Amino acid sequence: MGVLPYEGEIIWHKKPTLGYVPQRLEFDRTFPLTVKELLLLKTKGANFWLPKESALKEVVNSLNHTRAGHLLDKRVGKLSGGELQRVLIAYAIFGQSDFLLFDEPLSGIDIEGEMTIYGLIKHLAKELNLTVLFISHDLNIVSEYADSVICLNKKLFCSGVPEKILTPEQLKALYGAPITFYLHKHEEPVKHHHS
Amino acid sequence: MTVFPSFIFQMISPTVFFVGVVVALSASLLGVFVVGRRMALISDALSHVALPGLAAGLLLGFDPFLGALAVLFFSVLIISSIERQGILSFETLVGIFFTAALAIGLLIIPEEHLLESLFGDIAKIGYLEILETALLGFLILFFIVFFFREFSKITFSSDLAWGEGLNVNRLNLAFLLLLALSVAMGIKIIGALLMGALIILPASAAKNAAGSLKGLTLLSIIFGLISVFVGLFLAGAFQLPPGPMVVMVSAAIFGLSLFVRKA
Repeated sequence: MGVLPYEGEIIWHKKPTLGYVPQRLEFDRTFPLTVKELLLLKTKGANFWLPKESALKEVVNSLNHTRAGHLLDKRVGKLSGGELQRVLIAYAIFGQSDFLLFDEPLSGIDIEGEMTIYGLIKHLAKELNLTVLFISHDLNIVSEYADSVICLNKKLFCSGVPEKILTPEQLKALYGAPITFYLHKHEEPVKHHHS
Repeated sequence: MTVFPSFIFQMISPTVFFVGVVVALSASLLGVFVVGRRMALISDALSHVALPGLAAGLLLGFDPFLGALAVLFFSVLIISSIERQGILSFETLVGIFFTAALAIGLLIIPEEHLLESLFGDIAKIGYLEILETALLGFLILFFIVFFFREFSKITFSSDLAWGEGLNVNRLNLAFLLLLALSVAMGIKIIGALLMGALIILPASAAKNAAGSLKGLTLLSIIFGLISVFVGLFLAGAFQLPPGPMVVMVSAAIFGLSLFVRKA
């Protein structure tokens, strides 16, 4: 977000539309916003008040992609943790986003829920031809789902395909201690790039 | 025609009708975001900040409305800029300004005007007031409608708004200025003291009853309009001050809304 100095440049095939899924969303649970309305807030013109057929269709479509179609008229404040994740991902892809940024979005959700959402993201990326940048410290998840990894610990440590990168030697250098990735080490961020 | 004394019709003349509609619309629309953000006491406090401006106008012989507007406007700007230094919270600063302004207001306001400034006097509405209300009302309604999505996102979650690159600080300042404008606008009709109530009550009642943001907004407008009309009518019928009557009706609607609560 422009907070840290950086060097280098990012070259895009074409300028992407970014969808951002935050780690944890602080929001007012008493505000009576429905899931449909949340997505419609992203539209232009009078679509919030009198949504066009096409806009409504796109809302339903986005929600269906994250298996959240049944939550359309539910209030956002009443969703469970897993439901909220799926709605937020639907919100991120709504409006033809082609690049999704996940900032450790799944903390606080049980492992089973997590696994299904990781699978969902992988599925979405393929189906909608999305680029997904996923920030995670969970090496199991990284090794299972990433096409390409960037390891960061203050500086760039390594980048490439997970099987080649996540070797004991590399991990030792990254974490400063011998480690194999089935050991959950929750201290250092590992950038996980999947495209 | 003999059932109601003629002053009732004076009370609900086209002039009063127009001013009432504009004040009710602005207050109840802003209320949607005030209540959502838990800023309720801030709008209340702002309505007191207006007093020294009113007093200065009355003392020095210029339009008290302009005095109130100027004081509100600069208070909001000063509060926002001090808040950005990050030492004192917004609520604390509003609390300081509000009590200081109230003290100054009470000291300098001419006694015979005190009640009028606190509770409004709709009988004194003339062409100038209509013009002022129309201009301010148009400005406020335009901004709320234009930035409805942005204000909704910030009210729902400022995190989400940040994430999308909205300038949350600037939008918050704009919102406070709109709030200050609507308070200044309502002073003539229901008074400084009670304008805060007209912002909070219809939206709170609507929040009890609504299941969606659309519902909340529409209900808040309807409750605001009913409060103003029924309040003015009752004030005329029983020869009571209009400001408190409007607020009483609004509070009664809020009471009823508790029974249809959608927890």
